[in-house]
Amino acid sequence: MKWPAVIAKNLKLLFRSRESAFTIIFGPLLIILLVSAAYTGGSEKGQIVVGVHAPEYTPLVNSVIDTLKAQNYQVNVFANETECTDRIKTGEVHTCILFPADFSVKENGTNTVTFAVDYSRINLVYQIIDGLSKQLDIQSSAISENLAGTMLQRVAVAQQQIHSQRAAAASIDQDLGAAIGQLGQGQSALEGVDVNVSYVDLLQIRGRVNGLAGIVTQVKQQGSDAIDQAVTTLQDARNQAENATRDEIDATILQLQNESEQLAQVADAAPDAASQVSDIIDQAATSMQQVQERFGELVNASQEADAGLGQTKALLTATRGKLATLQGTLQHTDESLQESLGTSAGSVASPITTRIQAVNAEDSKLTFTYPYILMLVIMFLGLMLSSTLIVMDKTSKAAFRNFTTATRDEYHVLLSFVTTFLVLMVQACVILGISYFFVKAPLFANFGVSVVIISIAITLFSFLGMIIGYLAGTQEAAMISSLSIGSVFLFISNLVLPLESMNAIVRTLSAYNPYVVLSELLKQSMLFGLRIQYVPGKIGVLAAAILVLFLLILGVQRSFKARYFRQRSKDLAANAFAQAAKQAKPLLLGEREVRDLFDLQAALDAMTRAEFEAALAQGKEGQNPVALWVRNELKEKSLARKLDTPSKERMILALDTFLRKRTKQLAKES
Amino acid sequence: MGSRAVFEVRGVSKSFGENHVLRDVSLKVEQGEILGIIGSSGSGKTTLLNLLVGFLRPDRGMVTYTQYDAAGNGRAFNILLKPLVVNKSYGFAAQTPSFYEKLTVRENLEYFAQMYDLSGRAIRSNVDVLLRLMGLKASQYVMAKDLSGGMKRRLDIACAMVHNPAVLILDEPTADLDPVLRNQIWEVVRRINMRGTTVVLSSHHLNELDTLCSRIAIVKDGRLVDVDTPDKLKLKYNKEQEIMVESYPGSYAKIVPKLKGKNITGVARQGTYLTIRTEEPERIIKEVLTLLEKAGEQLLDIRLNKPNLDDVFVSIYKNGTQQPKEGLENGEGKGGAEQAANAKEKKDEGGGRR
Repeated sequence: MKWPAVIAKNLKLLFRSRESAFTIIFGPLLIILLVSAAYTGGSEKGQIVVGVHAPEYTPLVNSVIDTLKAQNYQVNVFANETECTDRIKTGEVHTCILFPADFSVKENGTNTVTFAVDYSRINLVYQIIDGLSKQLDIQSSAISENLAGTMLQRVAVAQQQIHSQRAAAASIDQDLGAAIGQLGQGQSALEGVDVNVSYVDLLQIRGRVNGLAGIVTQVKQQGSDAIDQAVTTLQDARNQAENATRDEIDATILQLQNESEQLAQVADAAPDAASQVSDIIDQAATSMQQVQERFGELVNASQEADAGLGQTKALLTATRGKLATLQGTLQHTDESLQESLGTSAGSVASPITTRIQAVNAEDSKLTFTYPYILMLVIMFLGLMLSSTLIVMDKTSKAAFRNFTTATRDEYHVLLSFVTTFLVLMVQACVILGISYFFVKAPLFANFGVSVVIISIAITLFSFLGMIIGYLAGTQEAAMISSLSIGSVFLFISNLVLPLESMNAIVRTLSAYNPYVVLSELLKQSMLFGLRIQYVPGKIGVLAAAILVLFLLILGVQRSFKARYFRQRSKDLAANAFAQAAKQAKPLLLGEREVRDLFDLQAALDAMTRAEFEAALAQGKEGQNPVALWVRNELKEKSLARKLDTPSKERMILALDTFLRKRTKQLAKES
Repeated sequence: MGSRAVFEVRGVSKSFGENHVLRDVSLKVEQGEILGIIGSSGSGKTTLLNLLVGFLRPDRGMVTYTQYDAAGNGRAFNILLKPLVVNKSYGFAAQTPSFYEKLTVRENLEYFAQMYDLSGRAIRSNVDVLLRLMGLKASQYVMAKDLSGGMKRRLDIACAMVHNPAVLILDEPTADLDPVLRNQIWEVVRRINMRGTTVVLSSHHLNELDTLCSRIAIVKDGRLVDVDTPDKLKLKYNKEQEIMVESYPGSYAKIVPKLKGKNITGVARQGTYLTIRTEEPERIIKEVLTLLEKAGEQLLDIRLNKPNLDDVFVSIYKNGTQQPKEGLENGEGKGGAEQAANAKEKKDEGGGRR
């Protein structure tokens, strides 16, 4: 188990370093102490200078000035408005209170008090208004009571008038009721008239009469035929019968023949009669048609009259309903006014009296800003502590040995984070503890969720700090970078200025500001009992950001390791070559002893051409002694080739170029 | 049992920009030896050591590490392929000490031991042993930044040794140290080697390596000039020995002329001593003693100074690389078997030579 050893080592290094110990132990305590003092203690109002200008110093203006003085504000009275506002620009006055003319308690007109202030000190105005509010409330109450008294008197008169009108409304209601009743009766009577008559189809009768004539003709024919047949039959019978009987039969036959003649006469007369009947019926049908048409007109007129009566009745019923509503309203208003007249004007002016009983100390404003401040501390500590730890580790002499042990680099990265996390968790607990006991903020109402959010915040800011640590070259650079990034996060948040007062771009950016997101979550958790499941989107985005940051850390760590060994190799090589140059045997150039290239440069500059040529002539076997020395002693072979020339100028030029290049290279490397 | 190479460098070249630091270097580090790497500044010693353990990637060639099992069977692999395995096998003490200055000596050792996954017992044991071995027991609770230069160097070596590696690599362990501290360091190295740890080191103090190393590798201008035991190198590159004689009354003028023509390369008077340089010291000593006796001189002191590594070094650097070439064909001073034999011989001698 090597992780406890690594964490213990990290903690020891942090605590044994003065800078980081301050960051770890005293920093957060100092911050929370300052914050507590700033928010819980009484403000030094004696330092705040309030300018006052009024066209007329009414008793109310003087009362306000007295109140300000009583609250330890320094009050300067100015003769005019410009002078007062000019003093704001010079910083001698923090705010100007500009009263209107005739600032007094009055029933008509408004009293507008203007506060002139430098916008950066807008909070001062609220503080002063807060301090003056009691005084102004008393004055306002007096005005309100007067106004309310007058109003009540007027209401009483109105109530009496309404009461008297209620009887008239009731009488109207009764009359309307009677009218509606009569209308109803008339309508019923009209509805009772039966205008329906049974319809006689005279044409059908005529048809039937015609039919009857036909039948009669047919009957006559058949009767005639029957009588003829009977006569024939009887004649046959007579021929065969005895005389007595024959007479009888003859009589019968005679009778039958008479009847047949009569029948024929009747039958002949029947169609004429039918025709006459038919004509009469036609006349009757025409008359009936006219009667029917007139009845139809009568029915229509009756229906129209009935509809008109119905509408009138409905209208009267609705009017009566409205009258009933009016009556109810009048009664309710009458009763309400009766009740209102029983209350005092004071109750009307201030019907509700409030008393605020805070769960915290009354003067503590820390509760609402507490989550922001706690997150602020976590942000700065996370950034600074993790970056400090990384820089300490990577710039320590032990970095090389850590790279050569049988422990993976990822392990070191992870344990650096764990160390930071533990330290910050302890810090958060200390701050929470202090706040709980001294500030009495409601911190533990939703403790589990708050701890989760704090853990996410620590992780995120620590990862960010670790990246800074790997990118920064020195502890100072890491600290400045951490502070800068923290300040950017702080600026794009609600803590310094309201986000709503910033432009759209900044507001958009703030949505991606982890400080804003986390402090809002913490506030919602601490003050409003937020549940994690309500904000899965935000938590998901934060988790994704943490994952991305972790991958980035691994990337920059590997990059750093590669750079470390590259730089180490360069240093080793440079060191070795420098040592070689240091140990080089000096070159005797004429009478000058040359130890390095700068010596050589100086010697060449100082030499005359004759001296230079003489010096070159000293070379063994015609070799250029300068080039030989540079190659063998200084190990600069490419330079040696360039210096292998009999020309002093070329040699100086080559040397100048080389030294310039080398100086630039060294400067770059350093 | 034959020689067992732990690290093997095969045809490695390395450049930094235009500077060709190493060219086609081949070298074996044998198990149990103390291999010294010498060369002038900028010759490529440090680069070679860094390449040996994979801190640097060679431009050409390859470095292998051979892992041996209990039965002695070795399995070689490219060091760049298994860095964590290789990291466990060596301890590296660079020119600049590498430890946490704000941890105590003991805390440093314990921390780095943890980084090698050692058990608690092994850590305590190793740390206690090293504290005694390095002479840091009394300072174990002292903050590392408060240690003296020599103690820092020893702590660095201890940190490199804390996981009991098979090979300890020391890059200029005695640079910037005074002779007393240098001796302390060499003593520590000797003790470590006696525990069975293979040591590879580079140094400028050639004569000190002479008494310490089993083999010496000489690097010049990025090339491996030779690898052999110190004695053989001296024989190869400088056979001259120096005889110093002191007698009374010291009338050396009587005997100097008689030494001419006796394979003597130089005679000079240095204070009360007469120094004679020759490649046949045994024969010349006899003759000098005879001459002194004949001249009535009373012998007070006689010494034989064998050539040292400084002489070898100067000889190589003075004459370029055109020196005996035997065994240099493959870039190594000797074949593997001969090297091992030399190493063994050196160890048997206990490292001393005089």
